[in-house]
Amino acid sequence: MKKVLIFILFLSFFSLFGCAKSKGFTKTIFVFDTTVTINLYEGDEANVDDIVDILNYYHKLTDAYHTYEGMTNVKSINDSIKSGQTEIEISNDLASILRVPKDVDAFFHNNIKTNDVVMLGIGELTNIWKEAIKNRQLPNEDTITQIVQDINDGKYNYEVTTSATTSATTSVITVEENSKVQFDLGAITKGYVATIVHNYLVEKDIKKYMIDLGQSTILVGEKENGKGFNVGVSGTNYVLKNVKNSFIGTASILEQKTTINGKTYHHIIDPRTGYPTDTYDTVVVVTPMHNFDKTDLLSTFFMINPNALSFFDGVNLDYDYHIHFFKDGKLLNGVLTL
Amino acid sequence: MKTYLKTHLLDFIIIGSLLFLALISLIIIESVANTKSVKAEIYLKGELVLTIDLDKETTEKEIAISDNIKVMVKKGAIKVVENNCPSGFCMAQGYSSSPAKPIICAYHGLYIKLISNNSSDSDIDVVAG
Repeated sequence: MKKVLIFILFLSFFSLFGCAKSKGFTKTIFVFDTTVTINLYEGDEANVDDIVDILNYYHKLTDAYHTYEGMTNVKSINDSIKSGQTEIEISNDLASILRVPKDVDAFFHNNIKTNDVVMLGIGELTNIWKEAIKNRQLPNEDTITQIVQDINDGKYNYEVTTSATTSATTSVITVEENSKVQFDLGAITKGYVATIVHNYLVEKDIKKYMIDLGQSTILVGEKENGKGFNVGVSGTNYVLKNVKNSFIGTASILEQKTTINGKTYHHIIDPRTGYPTDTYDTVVVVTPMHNFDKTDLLSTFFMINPNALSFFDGVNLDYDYHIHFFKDGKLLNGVLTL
Repeated sequence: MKTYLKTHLLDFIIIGSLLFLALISLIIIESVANTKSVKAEIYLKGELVLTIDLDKETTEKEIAISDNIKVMVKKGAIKVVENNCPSGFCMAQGYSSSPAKPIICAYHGLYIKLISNNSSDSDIDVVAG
């Protein structure tokens, strides 16, 4: 009898361990106009603070609505271009972000031209549609037509160069006279920053983590128990099972959309037409860590360009991208692996 | 007394085993029941403003989150019923009871995250969207 009691006591004791809360550090902050959650299952609180500092720095650098003392950011660049400046000195950190679309072109051996489809300088067009969604009123058709014409005429083009005449820590952004360029880096910032955060985690040898930069950009290592994460796809019943050591980049219309005259309009705009795309509701790109810095942009690229696959015909890519296309809550055409 | 215990040892073992099995069953039943239990964390611009254990809500009730936002909760579910955001998409979403269906209002930086109280390997850990 005594042994049975001892056994039950042991069982109860271990059951208590089962109920113990998992260790680790969690912090939620609001940057890039979204809620960001940092979960570290190893390391210490100082690591969380370092990541918060990285996120805050890039939030300020890419902020299109506020300026910050001693920093040339997207808002100050846009203001300078509006005032007629054609050459603006920027930090190399910002220059690196602005170069991402061209880097993607090169990454895919110029088989795809993301820079032609995901344009960072068409903030004016993006803002027109954001206002339209807000006010549930379609923008003026002539205004859209004019912007598309200006895009075709190169008025939204820009160049980023690291000039020999400037110090090593700065670059120069050059636009044409009477340029229409207004930057909106929403399509790439979070993916780019996730790269920086990932580099930090590698440097600190932290392998167990999950960082959710507002659903569209998720960085996962391993769970505390070494297993992967189950990633649900918003607006669907689809779950990506056991995902670890990966980057998940998502372009989705579900958060910012409205219905006008029975048709759905959202914030992801095809610069070739000036209008929102309507092929997919959501595109999710999952890629292993070594490729993830381009993934965020690629999800938007595939969203805008449904015929993108034709660019890959006959091309032997060594990269491992898993692309999921969703429409009306359903996965279309299986999972594409590149 | 010793003799009594000795002669009824088998009975005690059987009773003890049955109690033990009952205890294990109770733990299993509790764990299965709790799997569906959900709590809602409500964030405004990254600040956690309220946590609601939706499992404990017995009747439908309205809760003010800010001057502009009100939510309605009932057992296991939550929805936004008042929000002065232009699109109103968060209100159109209706009740959500699954971690896979968070409620988001980009305009106000509202993020209602649903979390399973008892997570298992098959639960959703994070939502892409």
